[in-house]
This record gives sequence, C-alpha cells and structure tokens, in this order.
Amino acid sequence: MSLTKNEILNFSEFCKNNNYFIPIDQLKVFFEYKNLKNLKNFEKELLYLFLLIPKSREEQIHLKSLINRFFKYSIENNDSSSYSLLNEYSHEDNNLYDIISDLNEGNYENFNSLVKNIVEKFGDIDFSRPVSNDYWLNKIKKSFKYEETMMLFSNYEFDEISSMTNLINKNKFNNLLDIKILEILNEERNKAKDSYQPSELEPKAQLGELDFLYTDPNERRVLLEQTYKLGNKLAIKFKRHIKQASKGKLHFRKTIRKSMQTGGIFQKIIMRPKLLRKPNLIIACDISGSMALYSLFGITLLFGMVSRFSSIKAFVFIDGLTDVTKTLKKLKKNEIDSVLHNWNSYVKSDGHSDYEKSFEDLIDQNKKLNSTTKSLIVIGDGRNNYRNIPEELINNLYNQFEKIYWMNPEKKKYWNTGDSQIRKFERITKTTSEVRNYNQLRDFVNNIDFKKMLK
Amino acid sequence: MKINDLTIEALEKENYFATQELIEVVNAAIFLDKPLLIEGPAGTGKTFLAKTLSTLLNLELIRLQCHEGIDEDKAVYEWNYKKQLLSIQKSEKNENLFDEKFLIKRPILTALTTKENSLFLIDEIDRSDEEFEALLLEILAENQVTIPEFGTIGGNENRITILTSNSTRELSDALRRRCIYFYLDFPSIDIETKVFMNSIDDIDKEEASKYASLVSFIRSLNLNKIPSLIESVEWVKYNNSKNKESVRSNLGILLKDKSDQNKYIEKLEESNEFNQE
Repeated sequence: MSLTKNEILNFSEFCKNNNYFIPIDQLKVFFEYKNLKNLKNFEKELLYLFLLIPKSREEQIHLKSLINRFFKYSIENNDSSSYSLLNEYSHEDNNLYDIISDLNEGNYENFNSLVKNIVEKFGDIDFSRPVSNDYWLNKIKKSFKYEETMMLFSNYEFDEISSMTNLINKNKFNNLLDIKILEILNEERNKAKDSYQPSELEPKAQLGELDFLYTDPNERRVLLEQTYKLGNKLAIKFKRHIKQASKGKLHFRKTIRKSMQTGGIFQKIIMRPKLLRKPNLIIACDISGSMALYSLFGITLLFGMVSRFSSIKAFVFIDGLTDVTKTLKKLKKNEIDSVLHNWNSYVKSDGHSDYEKSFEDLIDQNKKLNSTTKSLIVIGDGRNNYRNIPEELINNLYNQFEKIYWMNPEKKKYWNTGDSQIRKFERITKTTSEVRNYNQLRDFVNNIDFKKMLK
Repeated sequence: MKINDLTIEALEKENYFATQELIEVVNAAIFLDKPLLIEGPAGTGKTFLAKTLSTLLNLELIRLQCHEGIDEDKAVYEWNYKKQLLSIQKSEKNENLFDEKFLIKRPILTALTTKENSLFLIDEIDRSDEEFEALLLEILAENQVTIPEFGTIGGNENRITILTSNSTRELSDALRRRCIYFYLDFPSIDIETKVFMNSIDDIDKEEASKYASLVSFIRSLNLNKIPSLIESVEWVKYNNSKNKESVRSNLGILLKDKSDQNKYIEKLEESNEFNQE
C-alpha cells in the first residue's frame, strides 16, 4: 500500500484546518525524496512525512498527533520497555523472576493468566451499574490478590542502586498491569448483556488546547517548560529599540580597522550604537483561590520574564501586593511551585482577592519608586468577592500606566457574572484575552505589539 | 554528493550509537543535498555525529564555532590590510588591491571553495546573533557567497552541511525552512546500554541496562540540570570499578546541582522505605 498524491493533499488540507500549515516547498521536498528513493511502503512514507516536514520540536509533536488522527497510524518512538532482572528476584519461592524474564522476551502468556486470575478472584462485576471501567479498576486495586501481586516486589535486601531499579521495575509493572486489567474489563463489558455503556469521553484535546486545569503532571511539566520559554520571549518583546543612527561611544577596534584601508589615516570614526535595551515592565499575578492552577502558569511566566531581565518587576497579589522579583530570582526552574506553598505569607488580611487594595498598592509602589514604567501585564480573573471597585482607582490606574494587557483565565462566557468586575478594567486595557491553555497564551504573547523607539 | 546510504552498523563501528530515525534523516539530507539542522539538549552527541561522519566518509571537517558577536570578518572572509598596504608601497603600478591573494579565507569561504570532499559543521548556531543567521541564508540556499569588491563566489557541490543548536534561542523560520530538521533527544535505554558496554571495560549487559534504566529514570525527575551522556558514562565507570555502597558520595559526578542531588536522595530513601515495608 502506498500513499497517493491526493491523500497527501487531503492531509495537507486537514492540517490547515487544524492550525498547522505545511508550506508547499516542504511538500515538494517530500515528493522529490519519495520519487527519487522510490518509496512504496506506507509506513516508511509516513515516517518520512514526519521527518522531513516539521522544522521545530513543537511542530513535530503537533504533526505526529495529526498523522495519528488522519491516517490512524502512530509513529512510535520504539523506546525499550524491558525490565532489569535482579538476581534477588529468584531467591524467594515466588515466580517473579519467571514472569519478568518472560515479559522481557515478549512472552505474555503467564502475565495474562496472572491478570485474569486477579480479575476473577475479585469476584463478579456488575456491569449494569452506571460506573465506568476506572471505577472497577480502583476497586480491583484494593483487592487482596492485586496487593499480593504487587508485594512480589518488596521484602528484598538490596544495595542502593538495585533498590532504585526495583522501584522502577515496580512502577512499570504496575502500569502494565492496570492497562491489561482495563482491557479485560472492556472485553467483559462488551460481552455482558444490558451493560451500562459509559458515554465516550471526547477525544483528548491537543496538548496546546488542553485546559491548564485538567493537565496531568507529565503534561504540566512539558507545558510549564514551554511557558517559561514564552516568558523569555515576552520579556524581549518589551525591550526598547534604539535607532541605528544615534551616536554612542567610540568603537575603537572598528575605527582602527577602518583606518587601515587608508594607510593608517583616520578618515571615518565609527561609533558604537547606544544600547538601552532593558525593558521597563511590571507584571502582576493574582494567586488567590479562584485562580487555582492557573496561578502556577502565571508565576512560571513571571519567572521566565524576570530571569531574562533584571529591570522587570514581578508582583503577586491576593488582598495586597507583594514584590516577588527577588524571591523569584533566587529560585531555580524546578522550584517555582514553592511560591505557592508559601501562600500564607502573601495574605495581608483575609485571604480573599481584593483588587482595590492590590492596585492601590501597585500605584503607590510605582509612585514611590518614581518609576517611569508605563507598561503593565495583569494575570487575574477580576473577581473581587463582592467588594466595590471605585471609578477613581480605574482612572488612577489609567493615568499611571499607558499600556495595560490583561490575561483572564476564566471562560469568556462567565466574564461579568457574579462578582466578576472585569468590565471595569476592560475599558482601560489595550487587550483583554481569555488565557486558559497554552495556545491562547502563545497567541497572547505573539499578538502583543510593543515597540518603543528611543531617540 | 553521491554517497551510499549509511547504516546503524557502520556508525557503530565508529563508536556512534544512533536510532534508525536519525540515520534516515542523515541519509535524506545527504541525498537531497540539503543542510541538516540538529537541535537538542547539551551532551547528546550532536557535534560528535558530525565528527563521526567525517571520519566514516573520509571527509575534511571544517568547523565554525558560533559565539555572540560573530560577524562576517570572522566567519566568511577578511581583506589582508597589511599585505595590501605593503603591496601599494612596493609597486609603482596600479595594482588591483582586491585580488584573491589579499583575501583571507575564513571557515565559510574555505568550505565553499575547498576541492576535497568536506563536511561543514556550524556548531551552536543559537549562540550567534540573529543578524548572523541572515548571512548564512545565501550560503545554505544558493551555495554561494557575495563579496562586494570581488564578485560572487560559487561553491562546490561536494559538501555535507550540518548545523547544531542547543535551542537557547528560537531560530528564524527562514533558516529552518532551508534545512532538514531533527530533534536529538537524550538516548533511549537501549542505546545508552550499548554506549555503556562499549566505553566501559568489564561491564556485563545486565549491569549496563540496569544503570541505563536508572539514568533514564533520573532524567525523568524534575531536575535543573539533566545529566548528559558523558556524565552518566563517567558515573557508571566509576561505580563499576569501585564499590557500589558509596553511591551517595560520588553523586557529584552525575548531578551537578545541590537541589537535584537532594531530589535524588529523597527518591532513594523512598525506595528504601518501600523495600522495608
């Protein structure tokens, strides 16, 4: 089986509909290679489609999932999933050594019978009850037989390295066991009459479109890394440019070099352009309870910006403002969540978000420092716990900052409902966007067009 | 340049252990005569791949190490001013000062004009400034360099170009578009096992794969600085020859950050507790 030109063009169209544009010259490269190498194998062709077209890590991940969805074929990283056999396993009078060595050789017979045994020992499963397979899996996990199986991995005398290896093996085995049990449950459910069919969950969204709130730890790690990079990018956006023509200090080396051309006579003096590129920016993030997990992403973004330029000031607020610039600078990339662990130290009075108090603090701070900062980025939902926000504050804020950009992690349809007062702020901001997932965050960063020319 | 397809075995003979995907991409890049851009974290063997290819295919290696502030003078060409001055003083005739004999060739021009088959390595392109990337575009796409006083110099076709990047900075789309892209991640357990067995004496396969899975587990922890392949090889080499009891004391070979070490020790204690239950 081989891919036809039409199929690939359809795929390209499909990609375009899913926010991935395949440039024509890259498709050309693919076709060129396909013809020259005379590729006929469907899998090989898809592999090359994946290898030749994307031009960055992000694009690769995106295209991989698109190929998976369109051609129903997954390009796997053939990562080895083999277990490390420990000699200690064979000591006891259990068959762990045999099971694992069988698994390593790709022989699943013993393992399958073991899983079947676990499920059978659990007893009858009533599939007519309106619960999903996950529920039964959790029940089975608590059963005696399951726990007994997992106990196979404990009670050995290990040295340090082997004990870590044992833990890795155990986790791997545990995952495999759960997957297999779910498979069996699924089969059984299909066999059983009048079984309850849990509604199919929607296919999992793209990582970029996944709500920050619903990410699992692994996805979160990837996304936080990306968010950090976006922070760097955002910081650079605010750096001030300088006209090339403006004069600065004497560029000694280049002047001497230039004079060489004329036999050591200085004809032209070359100046080093003045570089005042540090951005002046304040960024404030709401970390009150209503922000939930979004504040972690907010703080990661702050961290990304602060670690790039010393002139960016970062604040967090709940019912009062706290400067975290110095705190963040001391932290390392994997310790960012420690800011949220110290949540208590940022509470000024009652721990409910208070925008009035916080922004008053911000204006005070800005005045006190006699700062010329005119740009502000706020991450917050504008929910003020039924407290009023006076018009005067809004006006003051507007006078203080020329450009205000607002990221709201709440769904747009819930804006201005209940105690949300985002409407008042929306008037004075340059942009107010809903930012709930990575793609929205990326778009927000990309759409900021801040360009300040110094004379 | 016409070269037969490379295979994993051929590279393994040169002590380079690669995945099938990487080999396919290298073959494609050579076949299509396009530059190859390899991106990935530090210490995964990007530069070593170029070196291996040059010895394997018997190519002359021309290397351009990028750094901040690199410009045309350092990378492409420069006029030999002293020689020009001397030449003016020596001869009375009006000599052409912009002749090839006054030209100092820097790596890019050398790579373009060399007669032998060559491998041109542009190392750590992300360290250079964005303006420098624009300079490379002409060379990568059109295979030529324009010197205002001299004219356009076209390059020979007998060249493989490899660019490496640590992705500390986003490269421009224009540059990416002209290359074949590959993301070289940390080695999988299989490959790391092979590396251990190759570079460490008297280690058996079981032991090597045990260490490899352990290292890959350590990499999956939320670390500040992820240990590179060289570090893990050194660590295993040391552990294998000395007694294994003192894993904690020689952790500094593998993890070079205090909080990372703490994280690892925490995990270690967790596993000990689990075993004693």
